[in-house]
Amino acid sequence: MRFVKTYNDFKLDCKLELKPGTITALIGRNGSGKTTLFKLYLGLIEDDDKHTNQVNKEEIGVVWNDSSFSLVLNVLEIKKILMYSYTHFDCDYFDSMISRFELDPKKPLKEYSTGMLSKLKIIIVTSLHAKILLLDEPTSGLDVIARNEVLDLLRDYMEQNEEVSILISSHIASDLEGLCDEFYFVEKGKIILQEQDLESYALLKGVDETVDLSYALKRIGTTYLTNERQFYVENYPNLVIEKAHIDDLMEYMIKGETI
Amino acid sequence: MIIINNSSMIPIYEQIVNQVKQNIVDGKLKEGDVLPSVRGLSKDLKISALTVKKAYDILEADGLCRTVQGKGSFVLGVNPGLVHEQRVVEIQKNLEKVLDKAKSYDLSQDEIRDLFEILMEE
Repeated sequence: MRFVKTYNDFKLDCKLELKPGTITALIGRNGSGKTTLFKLYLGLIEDDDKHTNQVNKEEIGVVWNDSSFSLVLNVLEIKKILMYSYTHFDCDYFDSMISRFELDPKKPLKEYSTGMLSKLKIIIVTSLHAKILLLDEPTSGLDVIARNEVLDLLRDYMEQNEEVSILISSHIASDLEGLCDEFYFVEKGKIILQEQDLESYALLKGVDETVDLSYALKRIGTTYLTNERQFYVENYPNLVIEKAHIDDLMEYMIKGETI
Repeated sequence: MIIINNSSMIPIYEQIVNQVKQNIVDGKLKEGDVLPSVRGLSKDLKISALTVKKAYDILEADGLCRTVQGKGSFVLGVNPGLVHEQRVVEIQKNLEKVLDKAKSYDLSQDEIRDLFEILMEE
């Protein structure tokens, strides 16, 4: 699906497709258009043709980075609300997750830490039996341990629900490396890279004139980014070849000089 | 059990393929055994499901396992001779690469032979 939206000095133009059984990552800086894309997908805002995307709200679960239930409520009260509001709410799953993550069901949310609130949001969204999950920066502000717990919960969910698709955004890209199956890199409203196989990327150091740079994409200083790692591993034993992580890809795709 | 080395330059799917093959050759995986589900293994190893899928596809193409939709991937019976043959082919390919490189560096056949003998003695 293609989404086009123009604000005063900002134009978003992205094609995005969510496939069943896959976790798709949306990676970009703050202000690159990730949240706008979420809103367009959900039909919360009109696109440039005054068209709003039609989605089945029962089938989609959403977590916004800054959203929360009222902080005076506790988990027991929230559970009641969810039971009345959602026909597919899975009470047993919800209870088991609350105890797995040792969240106190009787404590009002205002006494919860940032990590606890994030876990609760993910537990709620996975309890609704939604077919599509849109998670906007679900791990931001979390420490390493809490982040991995949240990501593990998502992995469990995918294992148990094979037809679900998840779209997850983050500017802490390393979070998404071992989780996602497809990666969209967004910059200034455009998809600058769409990739499934991050393993083929590498950083090349110690490049001299004997090195064939036909497969190099970008350069920052004397380091080159390639998407043909095996070619350089096999042909240049003396070259220093490092794995390119998502953060490297972001930096090189945005700041790098095109070869 | 499969162990992934994240800092290795061997692609992760290849690491999985190699280890499953090794387990089959060592008899740790037997005919009819079920491999972990794609999502299950991806969760355990914290890697993308597509990487696991790629590895399973290669194993299937190599005739080492068969995937039944909705049931999982099963290990097929392998002839140990076949495994050996595959390895010989693999080594042959690697040697060909080395020889190509040696030729491009203008090494003589005798020099290559000498090197090979020295290494074999070690």
